[in-house]
Amino acid sequence: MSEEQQDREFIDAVRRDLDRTAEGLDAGIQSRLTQARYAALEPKSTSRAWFSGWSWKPATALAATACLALALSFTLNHAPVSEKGTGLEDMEVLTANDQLELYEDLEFYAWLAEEESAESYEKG
Amino acid sequence: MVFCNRTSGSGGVNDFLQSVEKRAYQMAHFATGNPEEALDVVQDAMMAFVRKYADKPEEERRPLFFTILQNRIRDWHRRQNVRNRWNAWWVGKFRTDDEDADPVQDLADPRGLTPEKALTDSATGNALHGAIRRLPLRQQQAFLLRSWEELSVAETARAMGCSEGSVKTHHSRAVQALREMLKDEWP
Repeated sequence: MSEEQQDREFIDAVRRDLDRTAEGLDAGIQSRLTQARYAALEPKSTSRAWFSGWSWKPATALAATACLALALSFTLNHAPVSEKGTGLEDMEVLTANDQLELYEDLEFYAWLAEEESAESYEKG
Repeated sequence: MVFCNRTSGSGGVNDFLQSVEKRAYQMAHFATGNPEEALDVVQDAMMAFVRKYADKPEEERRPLFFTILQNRIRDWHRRQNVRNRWNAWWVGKFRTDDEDADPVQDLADPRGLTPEKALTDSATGNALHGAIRRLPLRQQQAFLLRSWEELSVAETARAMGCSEGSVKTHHSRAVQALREMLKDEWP
């Protein structure tokens, strides 16, 4: 028997076996298949398609983008920025000697201003 | 339950779907290795077929339906592969005890094929089913569409989304692989 003929007989035997298996599916599976067919043929019953179809895709994409943006902003806005800001302010105060003295004598200048305004009130 | 008028008459879509649903389920079961997943794949294919091609002439229905079914099976495999890669990434990320282990090796076969399952198939006389499951997906598709569903080479190529030459190669390799795997059980 030629190789080709052997292949053909083998395929015929496989086909018979597969046909037998498909026809002998258990009742539970057959019932589920019938339900699936009815669901597919129902004119306006698109509940399954509604869940698995395109209508959910924009919402899913939006949610995924929002999560990604949140994760990125959390990563990028981490502690170093505020520390950096504090450092700059400190440098400005430390390098300006006259301003520092002004801050230290602020109470004195406030008292002086009050005294001057009181004197001008009494004279006036 | 009220169906659309496509279901009535000898050429109705209901009759057509009824005539292919068991074989479609069996094909999806071979590909996924899971009854629930197979039922989902078949139902998706039925819905897509009714939505798009219910009005097609009777002679065009079978190749169209099996094209949709094979697309759904390929989609299922892609999703499983992506899921497996994520799982491998997570497993690899948190594994600390054995740094040299390959996380991909620990993952389940997407078709649910385990050595135990293959052994059970063989022991219960389903050696053929076990062998078909073990075929690579493309060979499995080519074999089932050509040899079982008896689609032409051109129809099979369309269903699989490849050239006719590829179909012939996949089919020939599938037959050789099956004969080799079944040489002890089958004449």
